[in-house]
Amino acid sequence: MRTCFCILLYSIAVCTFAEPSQTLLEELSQRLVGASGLQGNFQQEKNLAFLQKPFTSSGQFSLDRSSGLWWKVVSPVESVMLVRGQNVLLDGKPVQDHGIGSLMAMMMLDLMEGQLTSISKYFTVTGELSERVWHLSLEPVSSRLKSIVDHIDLQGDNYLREIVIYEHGDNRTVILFTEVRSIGVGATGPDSAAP
Amino acid sequence: MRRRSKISAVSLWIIIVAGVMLLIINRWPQGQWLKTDFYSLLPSGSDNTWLVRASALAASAYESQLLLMVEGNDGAEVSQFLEAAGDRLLREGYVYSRLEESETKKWRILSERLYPHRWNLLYVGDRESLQKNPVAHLEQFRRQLYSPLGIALIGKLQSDPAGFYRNYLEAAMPSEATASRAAANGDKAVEFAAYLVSPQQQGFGGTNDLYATYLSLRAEAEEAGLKLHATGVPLYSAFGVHSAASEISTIGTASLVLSMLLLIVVLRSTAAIFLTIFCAAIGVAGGLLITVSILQQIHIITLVFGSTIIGVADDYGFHYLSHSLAPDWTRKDALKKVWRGLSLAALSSVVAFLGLTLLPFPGIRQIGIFMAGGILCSFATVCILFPVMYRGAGTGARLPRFFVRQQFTIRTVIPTLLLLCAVVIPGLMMLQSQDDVREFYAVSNMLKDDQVAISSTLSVTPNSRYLLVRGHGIEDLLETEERLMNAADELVERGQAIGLSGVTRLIPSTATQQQNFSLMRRLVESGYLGTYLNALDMDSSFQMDLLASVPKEFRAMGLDVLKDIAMPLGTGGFLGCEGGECASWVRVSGSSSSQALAELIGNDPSVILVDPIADINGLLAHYRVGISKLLIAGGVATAMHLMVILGWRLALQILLIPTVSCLGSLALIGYIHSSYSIVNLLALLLLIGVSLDTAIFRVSTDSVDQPATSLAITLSALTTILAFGILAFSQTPVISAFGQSIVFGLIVTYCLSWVRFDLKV
Repeated sequence: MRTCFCILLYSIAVCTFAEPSQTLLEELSQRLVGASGLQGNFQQEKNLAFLQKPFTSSGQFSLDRSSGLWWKVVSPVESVMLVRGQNVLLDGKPVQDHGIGSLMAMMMLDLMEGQLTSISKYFTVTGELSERVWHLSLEPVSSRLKSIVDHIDLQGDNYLREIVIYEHGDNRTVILFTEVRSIGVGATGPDSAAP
Repeated sequence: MRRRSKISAVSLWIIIVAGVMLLIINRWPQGQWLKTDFYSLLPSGSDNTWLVRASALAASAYESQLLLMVEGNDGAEVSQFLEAAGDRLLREGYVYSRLEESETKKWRILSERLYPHRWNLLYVGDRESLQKNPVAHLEQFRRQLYSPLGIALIGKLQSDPAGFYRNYLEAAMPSEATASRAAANGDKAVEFAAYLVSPQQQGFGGTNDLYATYLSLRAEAEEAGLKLHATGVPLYSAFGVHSAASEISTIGTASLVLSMLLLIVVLRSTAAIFLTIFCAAIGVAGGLLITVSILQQIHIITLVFGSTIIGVADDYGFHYLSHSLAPDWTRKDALKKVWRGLSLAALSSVVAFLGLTLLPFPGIRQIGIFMAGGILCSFATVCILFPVMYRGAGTGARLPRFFVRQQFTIRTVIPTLLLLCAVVIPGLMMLQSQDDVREFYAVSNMLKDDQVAISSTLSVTPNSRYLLVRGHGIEDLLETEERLMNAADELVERGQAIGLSGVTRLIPSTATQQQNFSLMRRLVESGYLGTYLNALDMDSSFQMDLLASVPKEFRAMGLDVLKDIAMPLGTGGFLGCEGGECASWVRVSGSSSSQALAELIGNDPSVILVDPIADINGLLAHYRVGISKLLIAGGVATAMHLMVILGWRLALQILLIPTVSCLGSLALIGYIHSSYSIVNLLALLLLIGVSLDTAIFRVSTDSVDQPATSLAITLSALTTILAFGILAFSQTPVISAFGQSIVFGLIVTYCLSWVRFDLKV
């Protein structure tokens, strides 16, 4: 009797918290505000044992399909990263990406447009949707992506609000997005385009 | 025959064999005598040692790789299928490791070896930037750390605070080294994985069918709505083994059984069959042993083509045995009856084949000695053993009536011969030489399509070329290689698609290491590095430890750092030093033309561009031309030799058959293929041997014994056609070309053997 009850509880838990990823992504894509462009502020933080303080940076970002991801670090030192397809520039010069820049651009573009095809192509997705917020956990399927990250957690409401990148070992990087607004035709909020 | 003379003859044969064996054992080489590499076929020269080593290393980079590519609409499905395919290959023992795991391990070990010397190692871009403006360079790296790009770099800050070491290793890594990646191919998900094939599964030593497994995986992928592509040298070899094995088992068995049946039906003597096989075996074994003892080595290609001596060696046995069906045959006079024909045929063939030793090509010399030595051994076996071991044909065996018929006179066949000339000439004019080694082996269309699909998706141009670099000592070698690398980097900046990977990407010259070290010391002493570490908010004790770890004195890193470790793929390598000269090989990648590479090398005599395929094709062309000339020269030498012994009329009569047979064979090849290669000419060597024997046996036999000679000629033609001509149906181009040349020529030889010229010895 006790065994049957446990099995029943487990089944309910599985059904509630580990929804089939396809249904999850479909529901999420309906919740997200589909926009042709986004902009906002970010704060990135990384904790390392040999540093006195966390490795922190903050700045602004802008995103659309044609221009790519524009990422301006304002503090502690100014720099501008631009990711357009496979091309990655830092302060106007090409740099070695190591996979992170284009990965972030791909995820953010998918979530911006509400079309989650790339995410489903490269990751095994689990998560949950509640009334106001959603939470996804992405595990890479290819060995190439697995060599870069262990897994990635995403969180948001109408927009993406947080990315947590878990690397191998105990290192993780947390990126928070604030004042996120749509830009371009039909967008709500200021129309300022990326410089 | 009396028991005493029988024992004497057998003893004589054993004594001769023992004597020859003693000489051979005395001269037998100590080391490896069977060569398989291509460069041992080249005329000797000082480059050869380095070329042999470099080619072996360059080929080993790819000869055990198997690359799989799976594409489909669902990334998870693609990934799962690829993993399952890899697991199956591992489980069934075809592969023993994923290439990525193997390479990651090698790079990790290499990285650990080089890390203590990191202060001597700087990527050229970092060096130039630090020389111009060290502050700006360090600041640029700091900005990168704070961007998302820094996520992958921050974890290594403790061991590599400015990213110098990481940049150095990344620059040293060849661009095509890793083969495991996911790519976007339109809307499709695509994944690759590369594996290392077990040595036991490669070539003819493989016990299981890798090609059949590949077909099975393709079918499974198709059922799952996916596409599987595969490429790699082991798979191509597996296809070759797969098709050759089926041919050998069916064709080989059929020809052997038919040959044995023929002998049983005609001679009705198990002794005859045993002696024929024994004579051929002695010919092959004798040829091999004599060649190795004289030349101290033999190439596997010589062994393969030299084994065709079976077709010539058994002629002597057939000639002897066929005459035993004549009504007046006696064991006592058996050898006397055929002695003249046998000795003349053997002598002429030996003279013709020894002519091949005049060429400077080791492979052709080996074939010449192999054939000449083998023929002498078979001839001796027939003359000494056959009279004592063979008692005569079995009960009921008689000369078939067909062979008692008269031959055709020359007058009656003149119109046919004229027609033959009219047909042969246009065929010969259609011939064009073909020396591309890639046309010699069979490749399935499926594998060809897979290769194209993988190359276009990966945007990789297959490139087997490399540079051989030499220097007077290690430092000179490293500096020469560095000059080459710098010149290549400049070409890349000008838009040329060229990549070089050599040992100096890992171990720079002492001068360069000194330069790098001086820059590092300047960063420390000027305080720039300390300021940078401070700006990163690094712990003060960590900063002090790091700055103190930079050595005060320069100490060069030598090539011994790489000792006893397996080098990662595509990094080139150091070949060693001998006789005051050191050498290395540099891998070439990219789609650069030979002209661009020649411009890169300039007039530097210490650098050679090696294109293995072009070199092999060039060698084949040289050999082809050499054999062509030798065939003509050999014909002239044989003609002169026969003229001296028999007079010019008989000599011309004898040479007519091999000449017309060879031309007829080439003409038919011209009509069917429009091209000929060295393989066709090597087949002509066997054809000449058989047709010369045919002609000599004919003219040296009395009229009353002509029917027996006709039987011998027929047996020789039929068994040779069964043994080799049936290769004409092989799917492997090089084998079918060999078989077609032989069967066409033998048909002409056999037809001409029935023409009587009214001239006798």
